[in-house]
Amino acid sequence: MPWNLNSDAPIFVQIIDHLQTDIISGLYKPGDKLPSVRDLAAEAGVNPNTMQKALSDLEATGLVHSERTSGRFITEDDNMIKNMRISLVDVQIENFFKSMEKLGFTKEEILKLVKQYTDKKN
Amino acid sequence: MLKKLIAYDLKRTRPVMTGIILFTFLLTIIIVITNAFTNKIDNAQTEKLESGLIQTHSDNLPPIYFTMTNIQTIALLAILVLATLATIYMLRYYYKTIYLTQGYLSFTLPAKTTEIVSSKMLVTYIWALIFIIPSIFIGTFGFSVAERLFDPHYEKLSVSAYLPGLVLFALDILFIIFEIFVQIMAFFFCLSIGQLCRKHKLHVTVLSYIGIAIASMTLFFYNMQMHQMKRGTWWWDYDDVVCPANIICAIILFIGFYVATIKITNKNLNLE
Amino acid sequence: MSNLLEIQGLHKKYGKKTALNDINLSIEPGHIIGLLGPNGSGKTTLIKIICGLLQPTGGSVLVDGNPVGPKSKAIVSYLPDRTYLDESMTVGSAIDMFKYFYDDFDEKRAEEMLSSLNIDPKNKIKTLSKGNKEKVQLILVMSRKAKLYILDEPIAGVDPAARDYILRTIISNFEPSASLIIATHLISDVEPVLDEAIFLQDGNIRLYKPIDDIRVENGKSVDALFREVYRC
Repeated sequence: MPWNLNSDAPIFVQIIDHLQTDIISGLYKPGDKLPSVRDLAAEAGVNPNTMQKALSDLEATGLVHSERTSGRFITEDDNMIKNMRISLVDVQIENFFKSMEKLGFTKEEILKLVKQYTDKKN
Repeated sequence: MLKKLIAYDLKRTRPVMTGIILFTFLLTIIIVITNAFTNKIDNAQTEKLESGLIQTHSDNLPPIYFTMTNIQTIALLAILVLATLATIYMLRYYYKTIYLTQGYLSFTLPAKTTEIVSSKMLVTYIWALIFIIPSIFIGTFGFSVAERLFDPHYEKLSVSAYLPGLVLFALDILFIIFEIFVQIMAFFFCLSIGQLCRKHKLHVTVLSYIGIAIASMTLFFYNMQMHQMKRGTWWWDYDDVVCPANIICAIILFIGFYVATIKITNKNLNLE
Repeated sequence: MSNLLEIQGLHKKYGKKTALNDINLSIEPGHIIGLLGPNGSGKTTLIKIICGLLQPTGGSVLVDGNPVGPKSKAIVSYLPDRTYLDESMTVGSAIDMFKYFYDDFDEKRAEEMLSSLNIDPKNKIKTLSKGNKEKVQLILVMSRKAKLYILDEPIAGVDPAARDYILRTIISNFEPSASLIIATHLISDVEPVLDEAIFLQDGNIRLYKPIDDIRVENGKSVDALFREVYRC
C-alpha cells in the first residue's frame, strides 16, 4: 500500500516526516539497514528521485548514514533518536495547544481536560 | 530487419494459408483424376478418319462420365472460392496490421516504414505464388499424362518441337500472374488513398479501385488489340497477351502503385 | 549528459487546424514526467510523433541523438491507450514476438511479472479480463530495457489495486539511464510518482516544472492546479 501522502504539501517534505516517524516509533531500529531507494520508493508510491533527495537530507542530519557498497543504515546514536523524538513531540504538543486555544480554552483548562481524558482511559 | 519482418508475417499467416493451399492441391488432383477418366472415355470413342481428322462420338456416354464432369466443375468452383478466400484473408491481414490498432505495434517496431509495409506486400505475393504455381504444375502435368495414356492418336513430339509451345504457355501464365500482382498492388494503393480521406475511407478505396481496375483492363485489351492488328509487321509475333506494350504497362503500373503507396504511408500515416 | 529527448520547434497542422504549435522540450535521463492536458490538447499527437506514428509539419525530434526512425524506435518503448496486440495470439507468443524484434527485451522479467499476476502464457489474449489485457501490454512494454518509455493512459479503466500494481511496477523499473513519460488524466493517482509535470493546452506547453515546485509555489497539488487552469 502506498504511503498516505497529503496532496497539498511538497512530497519531499512529507517523505522525510514519514521516515522520521518510522525511525522514532521504532519501526526501524538503530543500526537497521534501509531498503534500497527503489524499493522504498515503490513501497511509498513515490518517485525514486524524490526518495533519494529525502534520504540525502536525512543523511545530512545524521539520522541515516550510507556505507558505500552496502547501502543506507539508521544511525546507532540513541541520543540523536531520543532528541528527535522529543523535538517532534514538542511540535505536536505545540500544535495541540494552538488548536485548543483556538477553541477558547485556557492552558489550565486544557491540562485539566487532558487529565480527565487519561483517567477515563485507565 | 526486412527478413525478420517477412519471416514473422509468413509465420502468422501460415496456419490459414497452408490449409487453403493444401485443400487447393487436393482439388487440383481431383480435377486431374476426373480429367483422366473423361479423357479415357472420350478417346475410347474416337476414330481417325481417312482425311486425317479425328472424330469423336458423343452418344452413349456412360453416366460416370457426367459424374466426373460434374465433380470437375464443382472442384473448379471450389478452387475459385478458395482463391477468393485466400485473397480476402491476406488483404484483411494487410489492412488489420497496417491501418487498424495492430498498426501501433507494426509501426513502432525498430524498422523503416517502407520495410514494414513491403514485408506484408511480399508475403501476400509469396503465398499467391505458392498457391498458383504448383496448382498449375499439377494440372498441366496431370492433363498431359492423361493425354499420353489415353489418346490413341497421340503423337510424341521431339523436345525441340515441344518446347516453344511450352515456353509460350509458361510466359502466358507468368504474365497473367504478374497482371494479378499489378491488380493487388493497385488495391494496396487504393487502401492508402482511402486512408487519406478520414470520413469516406471505404467509399474512396472501393471507388478508386473499381476505377483503376476498369482503366487497367481497358488498357490491357487495347494493347492486345493493337498488337493483333500489327501482326506480321514486326518481330514480336509470339503472343498478343504478352505483347511488349502490355509488359511495359504492367511494369510501370506495378512500380508506380508501389512507390505511391510507400510514399503516402510514410508521409500520411495516422492511426485512429 | 546529452538529452534523451530533444524537441525543437515542433509543429503539426491538420489542414487548417494546428495540433502542435512550436513545441520545445528537453528531457534528461532519469526522470519520470507527466504529460498532462485535456482532450485535444495535443498529447496524443506529440506522443505519436515521438514514436514515429505521425509525421510533423515542422521542427525536429531527436531521441538520444537519433532522428525518429528505426534507431529511435529501438530505444523507445511505447504503450498505447488501446489493445494493440492481435487478440487471437497467446500471451506467450506475444512475448516471443517482442523477444524476436527487440534486442533489449528481458524475457525473464516478463515471465516473472506474468507469474506474479497468475497470468498463464498459454492463454489467448482475448480470453483475458480487461484489466489483465492492460497489464500484459504494460508488462511487455516495461520488460524492454529501453531508454525512453512512453505510457499513454496506463491506469485509466483499471481497478485501484491494479493501479497500485502498475505504478509500483513503473517505480521498480526505474533506471537512472532511462526516462519515462506518462500521459494521463488521472493526475492525483500519478502525481507522487512524477518528477516533473508538463501542462499541454491547445498544442502549446503551458508549464514544465517539478511537482514539488508546483506544490510549493501554488500551495496546492498539481491535480488541483490542473483543474483550475483547465476549468470549463
